[in-house]
Amino acid sequence: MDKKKESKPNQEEENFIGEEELLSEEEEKELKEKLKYYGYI
Amino acid sequence: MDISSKPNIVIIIVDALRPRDLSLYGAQRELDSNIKRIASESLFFKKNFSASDASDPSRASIFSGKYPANFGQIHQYPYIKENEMEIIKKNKFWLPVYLKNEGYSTFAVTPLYMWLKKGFDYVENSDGTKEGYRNVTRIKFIQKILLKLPHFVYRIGKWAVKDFHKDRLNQAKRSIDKAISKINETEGPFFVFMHLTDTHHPYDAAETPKVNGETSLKKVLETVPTISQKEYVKKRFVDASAKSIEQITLKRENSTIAVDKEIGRFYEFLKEKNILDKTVLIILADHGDSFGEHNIYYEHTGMYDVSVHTPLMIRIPKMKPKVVEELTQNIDVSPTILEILGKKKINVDGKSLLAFTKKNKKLRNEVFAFEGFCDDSRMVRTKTRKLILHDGSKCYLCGAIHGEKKEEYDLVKDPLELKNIYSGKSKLENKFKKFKDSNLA
Repeated sequence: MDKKKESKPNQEEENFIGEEELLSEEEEKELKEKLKYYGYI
Repeated sequence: MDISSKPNIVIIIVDALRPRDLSLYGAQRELDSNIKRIASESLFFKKNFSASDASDPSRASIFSGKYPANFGQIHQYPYIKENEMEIIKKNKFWLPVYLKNEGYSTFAVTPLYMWLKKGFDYVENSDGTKEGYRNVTRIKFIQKILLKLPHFVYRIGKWAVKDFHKDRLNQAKRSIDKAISKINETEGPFFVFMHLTDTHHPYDAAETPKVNGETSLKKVLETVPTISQKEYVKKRFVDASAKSIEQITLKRENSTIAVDKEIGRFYEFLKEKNILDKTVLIILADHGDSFGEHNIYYEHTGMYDVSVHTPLMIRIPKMKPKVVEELTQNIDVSPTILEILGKKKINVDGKSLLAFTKKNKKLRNEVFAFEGFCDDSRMVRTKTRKLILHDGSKCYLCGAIHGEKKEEYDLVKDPLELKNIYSGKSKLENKFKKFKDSNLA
């Protein structure tokens, strides 16, 4: 296996999802609040 | 590519399905006649591994093509950490979003929440709400409280809500019905994702069989090392309405037969509708399960092969079937789909499995998996050896510490991973250095 050909995730990633956000700031805030409320974080 | 030439894509996750229990992989009892038939028409991967032992990070690894540590979600919801959310936000590839942008109708006939539901035109939430994760969080919290109760109180509680649980029986049948309904309503290419959970404990596609088993709960508890884990195991028996291991095994096998039958029904639907040969059909499992191996009962925690070795088959129209013995992972599914669609390579951890259609090429020397139910544990595995690192934290589910801090197995002499041969140093230790998120290596 040629190590030079291995992919390097998270480095100069091309955007394949356009404007879509996997986790928007609003969703992240809501999720954190929920997890804090139930004592998970 | 002309939109009409795009193949339909179907991904079926069969929850917690273990290769060692399927005749397809050599088991004696045939539970899987339909899956076996599909495998005989597919690229069929014998040494495939999930990248996680937990459903959510595993599903995320399939859609992102990345190991949980690189995608961000290592832990099962709701145990996800704040720093994981920071990494998730940075991702730029997600299969359902990509396919939607390519003109596919996208249906998840299974409950999904937050990032997992991104890109789907339709998501089936069993609780009937759009914000399934809120209820999931509440339900998980209630489960956590219930698990702390003495098991006889738990038993009373389960009896009180038994009618509620009836709605959850035969989930596979309902998912397949919904998938057929959505496909029938659709024009143009579709992507259907379904996650069939009846093969997961407590195996509710089948009634608890009325058989006497020799291995009673009492006998099982003699082998369980900690009080918290004993309580957990008692509740797992309550959930399955069983008194012996043999009863649970038979119930699980009958549930597997029921799910296999539903997969067969879906296959026949595609055939009768004349779209089987316009559809890429992928069947895999999100993780395995432990039925007492390594003293872990009816959990899929632990980085042993029982929890991470998973079936994988990809039926591609007009492609010659082939059995592949090389190491593959569920993270390879998305890059494979992209190559089928004629797209360029994406910068993820997974690799297109179409390489095996050209020659017997080795894609990787080792596979990795990450524990979703304790703070940090992970494994690296070659064809002959495995190293597991564990930070010593307790299992979120049963409160036990599964395994030792460093375990190494010679998989040729010891395929069941019974004898830890770690001697203070391992050649596999430096393999973890490609992941920057952990201090274990």
